[in-house]
Amino acid sequence: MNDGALWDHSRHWLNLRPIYAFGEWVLDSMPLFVGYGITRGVTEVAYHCSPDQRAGIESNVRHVLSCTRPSLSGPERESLLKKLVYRIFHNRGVWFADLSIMAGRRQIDGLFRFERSGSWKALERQLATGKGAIVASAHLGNWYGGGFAMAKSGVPVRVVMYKNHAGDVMDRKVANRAKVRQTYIDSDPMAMMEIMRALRNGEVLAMLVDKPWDSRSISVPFFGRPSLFPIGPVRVARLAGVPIFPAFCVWNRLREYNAILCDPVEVGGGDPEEAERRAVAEIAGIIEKQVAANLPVWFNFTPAWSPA
Amino acid sequence: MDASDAALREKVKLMIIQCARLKIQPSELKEDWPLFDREMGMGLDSIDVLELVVNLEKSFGVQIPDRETGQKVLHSVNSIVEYLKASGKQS
Repeated sequence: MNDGALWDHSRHWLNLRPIYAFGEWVLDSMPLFVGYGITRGVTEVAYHCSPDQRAGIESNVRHVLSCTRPSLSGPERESLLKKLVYRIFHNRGVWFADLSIMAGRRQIDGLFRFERSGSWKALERQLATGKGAIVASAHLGNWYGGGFAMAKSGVPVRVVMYKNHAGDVMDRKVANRAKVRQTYIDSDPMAMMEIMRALRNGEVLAMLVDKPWDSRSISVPFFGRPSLFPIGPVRVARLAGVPIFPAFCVWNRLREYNAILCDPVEVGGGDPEEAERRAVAEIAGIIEKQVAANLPVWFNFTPAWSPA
Repeated sequence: MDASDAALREKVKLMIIQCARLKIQPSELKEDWPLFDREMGMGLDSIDVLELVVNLEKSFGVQIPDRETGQKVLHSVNSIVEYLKASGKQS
């Protein structure tokens, strides 16, 4: 079970503010192919020098493959696993490069393409009621790109995030550039007042919901085994009376994304705690399907389950 | 403290205990304890803020309009009671 070791990845030697700043400078000031090339080199080094992160991804992907590709023999699975882990590291490099471009000063209109699919009409209908909604994403694909795509299509987006990681400056730059509002919830519990007001004013709150950020989490099945998911987003949805739209932004090809909005999950009816558990389980199931379909861009470097 | 004041305090304490799912009796909840202080008070968190705000609206019909007001009002049982009284909610 993921016991909330969320900040493990923050201790990675690459996860430092100067590295983010350097990445942004490289992608900003050099031709893009050079920027992507340097990123690829750094990612290659990161792959070889990050045994803990590699082990985290390996254990996650190994379990997913055992569920999604049960017919593979042991050696076949291990061979595919090695290739996938390598690919995930390099995709994360592309993710970092794209994020650096989004945060930088380069003209990005026309540089990125976002195709939209899924329940965007349902989101429009929800916003037409005057109330907001929650958009729940995971560490899959480019979640920043999803917020970017949403804001560019005129949806009033507010991202809810934690401040205490090295990429927070870049987070803020991307959000400012996309005209996405931000609320940080790690230091002041009263930030929730802002969140509630935003939902009542018809804003869309974007959150990452696939890792337990604090002690408030519940265990639900994820690829057949119990894994912890945060309770906060569903409780906010229940108390504010708004639906949750699971959303994912995955690659079609370089700098071309598909922003997928899934059908809304309602948190209501009967016993509140049971309603929350049902909603978290439903969201975990949706994330499971998207992870299975987009395994090479599942950037979960911490074990999603405890060892069997 | 008159009877209606005591009843209001009791109701607020019960609401806090219920919202934060605390395993204590109302008598154990000191009225001046800072609700959100982890070391010196009850250590409630951001989710509890939401529960409290929504329940204050439902149970007492009062709104806490913004973050600043929230910081003042949700400080302790006493501050919530004072806010309710100032809003004309006696019980």
